Amino acid sequence: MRAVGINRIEYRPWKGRRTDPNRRLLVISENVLRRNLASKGVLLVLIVGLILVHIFSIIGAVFFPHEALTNADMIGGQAPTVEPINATRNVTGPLGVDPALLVNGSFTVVGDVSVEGTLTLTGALAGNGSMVFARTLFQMGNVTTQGYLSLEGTLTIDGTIFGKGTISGTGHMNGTGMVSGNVTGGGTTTSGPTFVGGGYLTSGLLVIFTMLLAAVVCSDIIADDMADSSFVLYFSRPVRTIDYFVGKFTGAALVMGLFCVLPPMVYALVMLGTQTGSDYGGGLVILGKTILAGVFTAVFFLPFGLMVSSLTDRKAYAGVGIFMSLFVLTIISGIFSRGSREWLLVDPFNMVSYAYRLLFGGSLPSGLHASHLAVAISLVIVVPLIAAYFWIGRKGAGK
Amino acid sequence: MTGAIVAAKALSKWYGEVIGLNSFDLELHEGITGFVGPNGSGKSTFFKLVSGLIRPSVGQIRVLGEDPWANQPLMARLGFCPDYDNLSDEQTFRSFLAFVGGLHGMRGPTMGSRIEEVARIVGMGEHIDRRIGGYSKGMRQRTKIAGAMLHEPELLLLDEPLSGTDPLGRREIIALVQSLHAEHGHNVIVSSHVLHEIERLTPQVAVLYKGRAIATGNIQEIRGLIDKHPHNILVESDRLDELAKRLVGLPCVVSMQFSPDRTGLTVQVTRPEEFFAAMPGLVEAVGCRVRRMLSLDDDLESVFRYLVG
Repeated sequence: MRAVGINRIEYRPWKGRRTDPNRRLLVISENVLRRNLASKGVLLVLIVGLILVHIFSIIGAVFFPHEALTNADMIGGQAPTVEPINATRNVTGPLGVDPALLVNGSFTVVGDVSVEGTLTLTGALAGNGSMVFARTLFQMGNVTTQGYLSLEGTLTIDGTIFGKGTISGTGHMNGTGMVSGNVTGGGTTTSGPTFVGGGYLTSGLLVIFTMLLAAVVCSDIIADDMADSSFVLYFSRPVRTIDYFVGKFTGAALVMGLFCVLPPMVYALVMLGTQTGSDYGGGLVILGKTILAGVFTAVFFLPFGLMVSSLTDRKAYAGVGIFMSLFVLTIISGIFSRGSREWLLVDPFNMVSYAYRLLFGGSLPSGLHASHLAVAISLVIVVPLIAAYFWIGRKGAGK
Repeated sequence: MTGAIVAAKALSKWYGEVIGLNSFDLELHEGITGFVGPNGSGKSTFFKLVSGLIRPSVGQIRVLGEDPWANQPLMARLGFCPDYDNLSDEQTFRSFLAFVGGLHGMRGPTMGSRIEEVARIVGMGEHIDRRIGGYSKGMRQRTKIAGAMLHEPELLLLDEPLSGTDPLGRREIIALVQSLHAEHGHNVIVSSHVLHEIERLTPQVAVLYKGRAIATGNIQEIRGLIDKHPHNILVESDRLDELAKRLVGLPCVVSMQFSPDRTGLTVQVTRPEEFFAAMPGLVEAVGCRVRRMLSLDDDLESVFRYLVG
């Protein structure tokens, strides 16, 4: 069949400067960034999160005198210290109790203590106060003691103690695990602890808001393209599935970075700038670690978000699905970690928290291994990435 | 399959149990080619196959001499305007085209001037910085066409570009599509489910029905096939009896039937153009007021039934 009756003018090729194809994914990322920064939902989470998580800490850094920027500023308590077992340490500060704590010694309670979780005692427990066990089906982060616990005996720790309660006493704490948080009292503690908890990064709010932001950012990132068939806009151009995928991921990561990377970096810089001491070298190392932690946090939830978003063309379903799916992992972890501590690694909150610990020189709770944590994190990142890429390839254009 | 800009041989595409195209054979050459067929006839499937968005289930297709599947260099030579509207209301013509240009690796001042050139070509020069949310349907269609032609593709694929537009917008888009070939050298494949629209665009058409190309060639030849079969036209008017008497005298009228309440008259004609041309004179002569007149076969479903026997 040949067209007739039209005076065809020859095709005029594009005379402009074409860029490297790899740059095209940046166009997609830029578009994601623009759209999110114009989204009321994203802005709301960003602003509230910035105020609650970052602004107060940064203001505190300015007004509270400090000698130097330390790991403890980021992950709480004192600087990570690995002491020989049976060393003695006097500490002061709040304390929570890990649900899987095993106490082999004895101690005396002179106040009230509330424990959410399971506390196993194989030694003697004596007290003038009361001890309340508020068991819940799952734990969200650290278990918190609300009362006061006075020690007059010996407490042997094979697990981890961390939290926000207060423990005071004249007894001894002997442990092979860690003490996370601070112990108040005139007694002595014998342990091999790393004292962490309550730091800027490990307050818990950062991870919660990061998860919330990831859910909002990812909710429409692919779902909307499926709903309005924008896939065709991309895939009828010289754009490969990988360009689209990496472009979307990078764009979302940039948005997340505004919350997870930039403010912690500012916090670390403010701490460095207002420190009274002269050790800037160590502070710069911590600044580098803070950026790394921020980047890790920014990208940690995105693969999961992309995967859920690629499974539905409903933005609301995707948003709720992302948030709820992550909570389901937390619930599963809470239930099964009572049987085996390895299940703690299923909880995304724990994964992030434990990764911070390792990054800032701390150690994992007893019974957990860094290699297992690495595997868990890899699974949470890699499997959803592959699944999302696969679904986009399938649904992108019905190929 | 040489010399053709698009060549399909025994091309089939099915989605599960649903057949999109069925043993489709076609060769398209340079110029404007119209694809006409009712909804579900396979037009959009064909466009997706041409633009490499989907892979044939069976058979082969060559576009500009190449296999379009996952062929990014070829996609840079094609411009696809889909039938649906996925424009963001928040964007402007300029920002949308800048994004599309970025996907083609275009940037810088050259792209900026090209965007302005394309805006002039599609008649959107005055609205280039207005939000798309405030555009009419015709303006949105022209924006989509601009997005397809920004990178100066050799072959433009316009899927239902006239859909939803008012008569004025339709006329403007038809003129635009013709100029895209005549003045700017693009080869164009354009689809519609309305034969008259395609007829105004190009004499070269391919008629699709249920996933097959049932007729290809010059529109006059295809019209000849259609005209052998009666075409139903509904007329609603006062003084229908008098009008019917006059209509009987038209050679193209085969039969007439009044509606039960005698407010409408269904006329069977062999050559609709002849009927439509004669109607204004008849209406004036009778002095009736026509409330409504429409072709009952405008969805082309019946036309295609005629063609396939």
